Amino acid sequence: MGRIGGRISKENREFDGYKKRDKRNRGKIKMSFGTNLHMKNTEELKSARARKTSSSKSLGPLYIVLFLLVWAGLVYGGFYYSKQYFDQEIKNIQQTNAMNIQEIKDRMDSLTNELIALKGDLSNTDETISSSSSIQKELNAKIELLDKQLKNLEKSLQILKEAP
Amino acid sequence: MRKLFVLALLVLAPFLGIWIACSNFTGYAHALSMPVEKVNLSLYALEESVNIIEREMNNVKTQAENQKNQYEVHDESLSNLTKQATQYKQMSDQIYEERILTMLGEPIKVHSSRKVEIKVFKLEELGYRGYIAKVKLFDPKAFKVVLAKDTLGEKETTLEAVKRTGALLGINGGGFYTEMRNGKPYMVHIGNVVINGKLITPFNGYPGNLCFAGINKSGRVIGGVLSTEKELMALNPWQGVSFIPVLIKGGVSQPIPAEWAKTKQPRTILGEYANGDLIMIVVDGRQADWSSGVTLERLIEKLVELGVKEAYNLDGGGSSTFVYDQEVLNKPSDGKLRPVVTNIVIMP
Repeated sequence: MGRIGGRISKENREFDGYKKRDKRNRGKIKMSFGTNLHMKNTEELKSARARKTSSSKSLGPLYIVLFLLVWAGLVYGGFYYSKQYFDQEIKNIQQTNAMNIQEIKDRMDSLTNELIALKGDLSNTDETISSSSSIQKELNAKIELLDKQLKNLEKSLQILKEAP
Repeated sequence: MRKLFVLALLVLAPFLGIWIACSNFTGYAHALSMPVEKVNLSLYALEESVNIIEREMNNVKTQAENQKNQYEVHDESLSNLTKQATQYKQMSDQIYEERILTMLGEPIKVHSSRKVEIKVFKLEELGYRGYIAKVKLFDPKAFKVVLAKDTLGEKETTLEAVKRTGALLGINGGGFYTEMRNGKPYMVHIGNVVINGKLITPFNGYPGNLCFAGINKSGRVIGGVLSTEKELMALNPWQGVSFIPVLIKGGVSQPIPAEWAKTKQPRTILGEYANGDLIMIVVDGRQADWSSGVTLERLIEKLVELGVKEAYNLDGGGSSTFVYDQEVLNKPSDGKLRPVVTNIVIMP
């Protein structure tokens, strides 16, 4: 690319030199040498233009190739940038979703643990209530027994009262 | 220059499209995000509900535990009260027993087993003597009325009955008389006799003051003047014999027929203390140098003095016999043992 570019710019500079010289020589020829000299310069000019046209025609495909290369580079750059961008965005979303899911999972785990603890508490409370119910039944039985014993005691005291 | 500008526009056109697409991609991309806000709201509500349940659960648990603790305290208090009531009853029973024993004196014979406790005392009063057995029945089956030789029409002495049945204590039972059947003497019990809950003969509705005396299936003394079988069976009799009269009923002295009240005779008595202990008394008589006997009036006074609450007079006279451990302790008025139809024995 650099060598080709340098060559093109050198030729362009030469071509511009010809054009400048041609303008200057036109006056000088008219003033100094007359018609023959003028003819001679015209041919040179034509020749220079022919060289110039020939040179431009040979550089056309090169420009196209350069253009395609630049265009392909830009396309690739655009593609690369877009891919990076989309990937990053999706990655961000995935990360956000993962973090959210992890957070929800943690909270669900916490809830599960709390529910398990509640289940344990419920079971313990159930046992406590069952035990209380059992004790209450025992209490009722003991109240009946006490009632019976008190009646026996009353009877015994009544008997004692009538003792000889 | 113009061509260059056009060229640049063409070159940059795809990038412009890409830039436009990318510029809004973030917005679209956010649509891919999980709608965690709604889930979070539900989770917050759920967490709050769980917290409320947890608090309520803790309250219920605390209340249940408090209630259980209170029940346990009450349970312990009731146990102590029951224990104290039992101790007081035992103390009361013991005091009553001591009062009875104080009245009866020192026992001369004592037997105690899983079924029965027997204490034998001497009875020595002015003009009469005899023996008293205080019987505490733990098993009512230890008390038995036995028919002579276990056969109707037969007779045997109390000692024979005690030996035959293996009993420890025995007294004579109900009244009887002799009749001739087929030229042979046939012993007939008067009134009704119940053995093991059954009348041994059809109900005898003997008129007058003839009474039934025995125990029920709980071992408590029952009896009275009973005119129908229904009345008798209503007492749930287990063992019993018949004679005359009722001496004390429900702690109240009963009126005695005139012909029985003033006569001194040997006596056999079945009675009960207020605590359920049985009292079996045999009083000797018709022996001036030993014991002249006792009138029923005087005997009732003595029984009341001893604290007896139920008492029934059984067959007396020459039948009155007191046997303990295969030994006749009293002195029967006939000078020998009289064979009788029924005896009451206590198994050891």
